[in-house]
Amino acid sequence: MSEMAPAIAFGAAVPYFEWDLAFRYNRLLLQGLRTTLEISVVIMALGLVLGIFVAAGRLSKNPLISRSVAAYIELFRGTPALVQLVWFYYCLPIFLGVSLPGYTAIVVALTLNVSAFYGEAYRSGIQALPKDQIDSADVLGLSYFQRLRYVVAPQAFRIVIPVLLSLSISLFKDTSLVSTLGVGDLMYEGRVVATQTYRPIEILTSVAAIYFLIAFPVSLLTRRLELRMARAYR
Amino acid sequence: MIGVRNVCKRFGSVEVLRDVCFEVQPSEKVVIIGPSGSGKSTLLRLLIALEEPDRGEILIEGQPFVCCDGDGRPVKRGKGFRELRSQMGMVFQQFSLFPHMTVIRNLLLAPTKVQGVDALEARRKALVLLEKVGLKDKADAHPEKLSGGQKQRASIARALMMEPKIMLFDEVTSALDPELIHEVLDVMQRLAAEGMTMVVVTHEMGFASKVADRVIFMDQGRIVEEGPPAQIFRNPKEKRTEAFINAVMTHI
Ligand SMILES: Nc1ncnc2c1ncn2[C@@H]1O[C@H](COP(=O)(O)OP(=O)(O)OP(=O)(O)O)[C@@H](O)[C@H]1O
Ligand SMILES: [Mg+2]
Repeated sequence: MSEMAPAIAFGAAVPYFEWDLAFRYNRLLLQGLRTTLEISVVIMALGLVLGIFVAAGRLSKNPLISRSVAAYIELFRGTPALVQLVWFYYCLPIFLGVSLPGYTAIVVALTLNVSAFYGEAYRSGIQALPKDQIDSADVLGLSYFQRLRYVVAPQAFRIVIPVLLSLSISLFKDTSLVSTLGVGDLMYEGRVVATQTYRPIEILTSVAAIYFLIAFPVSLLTRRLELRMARAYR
Repeated sequence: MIGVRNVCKRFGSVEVLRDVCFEVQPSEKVVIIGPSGSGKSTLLRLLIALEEPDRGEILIEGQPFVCCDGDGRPVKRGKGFRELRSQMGMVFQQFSLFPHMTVIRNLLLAPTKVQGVDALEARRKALVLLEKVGLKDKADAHPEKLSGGQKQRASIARALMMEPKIMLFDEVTSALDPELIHEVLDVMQRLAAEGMTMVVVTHEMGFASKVADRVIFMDQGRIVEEGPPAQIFRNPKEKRTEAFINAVMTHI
């Protein structure tokens, strides 16, 4: 019976759930949410642009460029984002002597991370285009950048929108990692409230619900777009 | 109009073109035939600088276009490279229209963005050309709504927008349903009658014998034989030409 004791004690400590806790601390949580959304949007915007260069570099005919970009992609895809964050936050200043402000370090790290994924998505979109089409544009006299702008990008972008959206959902959730570095995002404020109230279950569940309320509609939209595209390309 | 001198091309260890030489006179129609993998597409792509030679020289309108001394040395482009290249148009086997643009926008893209032609003027010209290829009513349609034959005719019109002096065709009817082939060949035949210089890779021997001034037979990266269609089709001098002609003719 003694083995049951802690469980009973825990149960006794949580005789009921206080779901209204999240509402009582809504100011803190909303403030965290704003930071989370801000970080997400900034990183997404930077990543969507940088991703184009990543794809262009990866597809470059110059082997030095394409291999370096490939190495960068594999490095960022193959290591945990948390470690990347810690690296840019703590280690870069030590090794390189450059000290980035905390917020900048986080944005740089996560932008580089997500650009690797966006870049690979763009690349798959570009490679889905028939070669004759690119050659036609070339033969018509369009320069490299004109081909990219008028022929490749509009089509590749349309093809990869669902992938970009689903990568962005992951990014949105991954920004919670910055809470470990003391950035006041939704997760961070949630943990603060949880410690203050001794109610981690309610608070963390509420925090998860907030992430879900934002991620799920985007996820639905992604599925809609995928279906529509499957029909269009049938 | 076109001069090809000792051109060699390899992809990795595969020798695709071996010491190819030929000339095309102004207004001449040259048809290139040969088995699959003999290097016909590669030759056309070299003519319009989509590929670069490993050795040899290509002249357009008597002026140096590209040349390479071989031994892995870099390819040199002639002074008038861009200008000379803009005098050539090319149509591919399929998938060449930009699917995210209407037919007329396909035609307008290069003239307005590359040549800086006034949009209204380009539009007028585009409608004339679409009329010429029988697609005036499809100007505002997206390519997905067009049949294969219509797509190819639109591609030809798009190439003509740039007012090329030389047109290259790479098996433009090979991906089409048989009943759609003649409408594309008709357009090409009319273009030939107007005096366009044309280099055409095709398996349509009927078209070749009607339109070609000269037929070139290629095999394994070499020009095996060339001459007027009557000679190549009825009196080939080379055994390999004869074998190919017999094989193709019995299939038709
Ligand atoms: N980009 C490339 N990379 C590697 N090999 C290539 C490339 N393009 C063509 N080849 C090879 O070069 C050879 C000649 O190809 P090419 O397309 O010129 O032949 P073709 O005469 O046009 O044949 P087909 O009638 O099938 O179109 C083939 O063996 C082909 O596999
Ligand atoms: Mg070919």
